[in-house]
Amino acid sequence: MRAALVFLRILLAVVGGYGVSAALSAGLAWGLPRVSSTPRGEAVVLAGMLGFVVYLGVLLGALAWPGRRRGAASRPSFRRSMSVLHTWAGLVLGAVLFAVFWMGTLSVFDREIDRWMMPSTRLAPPPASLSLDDTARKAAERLAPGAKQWSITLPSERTPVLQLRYPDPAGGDSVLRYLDPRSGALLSPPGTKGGTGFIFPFHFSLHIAWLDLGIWLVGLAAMALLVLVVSGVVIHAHFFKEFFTFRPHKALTRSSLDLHTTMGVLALPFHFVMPLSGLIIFFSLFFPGTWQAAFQGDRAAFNREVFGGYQRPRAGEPAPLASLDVMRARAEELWGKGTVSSLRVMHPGDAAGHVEVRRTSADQVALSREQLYLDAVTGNVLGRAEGQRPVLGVQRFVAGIHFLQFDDWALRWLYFLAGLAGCTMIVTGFLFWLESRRSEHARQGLAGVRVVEALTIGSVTGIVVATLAFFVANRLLPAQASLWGMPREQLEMVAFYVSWLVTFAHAALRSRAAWAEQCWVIAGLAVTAVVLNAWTTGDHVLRALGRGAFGVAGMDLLLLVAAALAAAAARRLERRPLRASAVRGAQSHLENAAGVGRAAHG
Amino acid sequence: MARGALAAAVFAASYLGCALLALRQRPHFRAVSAQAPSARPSAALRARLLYAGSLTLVLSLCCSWLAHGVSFGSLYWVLALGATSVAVTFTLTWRPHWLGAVLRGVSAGSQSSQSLLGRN
Repeated sequence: MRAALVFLRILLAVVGGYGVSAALSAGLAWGLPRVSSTPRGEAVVLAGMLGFVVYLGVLLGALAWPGRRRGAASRPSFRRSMSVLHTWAGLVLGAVLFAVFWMGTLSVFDREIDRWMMPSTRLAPPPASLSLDDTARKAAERLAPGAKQWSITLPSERTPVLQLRYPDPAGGDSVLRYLDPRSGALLSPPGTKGGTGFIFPFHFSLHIAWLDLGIWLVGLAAMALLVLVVSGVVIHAHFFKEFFTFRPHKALTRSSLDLHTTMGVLALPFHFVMPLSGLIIFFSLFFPGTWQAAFQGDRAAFNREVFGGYQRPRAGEPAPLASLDVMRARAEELWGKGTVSSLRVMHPGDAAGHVEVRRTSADQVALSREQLYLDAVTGNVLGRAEGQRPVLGVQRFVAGIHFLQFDDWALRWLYFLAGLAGCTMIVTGFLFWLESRRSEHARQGLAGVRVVEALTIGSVTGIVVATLAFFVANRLLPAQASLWGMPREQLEMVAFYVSWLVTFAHAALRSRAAWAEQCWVIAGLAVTAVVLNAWTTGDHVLRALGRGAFGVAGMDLLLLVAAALAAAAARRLERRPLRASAVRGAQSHLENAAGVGRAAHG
Repeated sequence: MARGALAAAVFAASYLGCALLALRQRPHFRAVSAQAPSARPSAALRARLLYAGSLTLVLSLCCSWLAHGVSFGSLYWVLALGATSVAVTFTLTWRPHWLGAVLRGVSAGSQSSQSLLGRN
């Protein structure tokens, strides 16, 4: 009964809170330009960003209000309801959060993963000068004659290849081809989605495309993380006295809680800014009412005003495309040498063709929105994305913090470590939940711990196993592999999902022993991946280091570190099986545990 | 070169600042100073640790701004603070005596905050 009430309350808060914040943000986006001189685009961005703050406030208020039955809103009871909230939100969405954190942490090195998974693109750093007219343009005119548009992304230190995208003549998704920037030669298709095509989209969409369900689920998890961070600070407030404390030799409840609060509190700004900035990136998807109200539902007008863009219809008369190298040089005069990241040619070969040149974000925190539009036939400047938009500037800066598109290796590693801290925080939160209830559930014959433990193992060690299986499949499958009509890149993804499912089944069957067993599998797969890379590409660590392929060497080294850590963890788990009696001792330390436990049992 | 030294100083100062703040707490103070379980830092020492720790963290932020500019510098500092505070936590767990020199430095300093900073 109690559990049903709690569930109903959460559902009401989540759905009702969203309704309130969506209505308020749409109202603000509609009203602000009418009562002030704020441009519509600025009002939409502001309303979209504030919507998440309002939603967080409503969620916390509705879910954590102690309620009348427990008397006045005294501090302990406020903390206890926060504690119930923390437990439920963590339990329900912890698995999704771990998947998002894990894939986000890997996405920090998505291009290095690409190089590892796409051996044909492991080229030397790009030359200082290259001609687009002689390379990518020729390829585009050969591969995509008559295409409505095609685009070229220039090589960079982390991606030393030219990328050409054009619409699939067969009507599918757009085609992406890699070219050697020196010779302009087409590289053989890599047959993999790699880090940028599989791991990065998994981070924000879980690859559930139907109705954007994956993005909404990740958005919900991000909101939950904000709620978890705030409620976590409230319930663990008395742990601030024990800052910087980790006691690995005490009972597992104690040590996992130490690690949970350490990783949570010490990386608190990261754990708060990442979900919030992630939501802000997708503000127009999560709060569509904002732009619909301000632009009367005209999506294209909204996109043009906020994100820039130039459009004009096809003329129908043929005219040759002018030099792309000249257009690139013209943009560099404006922004500086080496600052052009991509060019998009619209209506190539048409008299009304035009070219959109984009600036890189490599040298700034904010995502660049600088664009230059040129006439494709004369090369004359048609316009550029307007500057001076303070609110949009904030949105681009916040998005830039999340996207990490700047070239800075030290920051990249710090993001990676902070991401791992987040993963640790989620795992230890689960461990604490499990260990503080294990004996009680066993005594009462409840299935809660068994079910949650299987889910935890599958979503923690399981996703690591699946990721490694994805890497191993990448090195094992032959170049032309296909099965039941599935191309090679899909077979890799099948390897990921099948092995992930198997880890859940294994966890359900083997229960607690599955932790150590899956750690052994992780160690084995990681070493296998390194060996297979050396065997199939010849780029073992030393050779990769010697020829400057640091991304490939780094990936191999990290795989070896992961293997060593997993093997050490497995050995430790097998040598020192956890005792239930040690677990119970720590419970008395936690004034919250009893209350949380009761609420969770229902 | 100067930029590299400043960038390293961000981490060093951030670690030191966290260590100084951690030493204000009784269990850490005890573990580092290897004193009896009843020992606790005096009020004067706690105040000194607070000032020295906070100042060192501010110094770390200034180094970060000088090395990386305000926007990148702030990002660096926040992430470096997280990483070094976890490093301090692990130092206190496994090698608390490493921080003995820090504690001795602060304890032995005269009352004036000037010489205190000089020692750090």
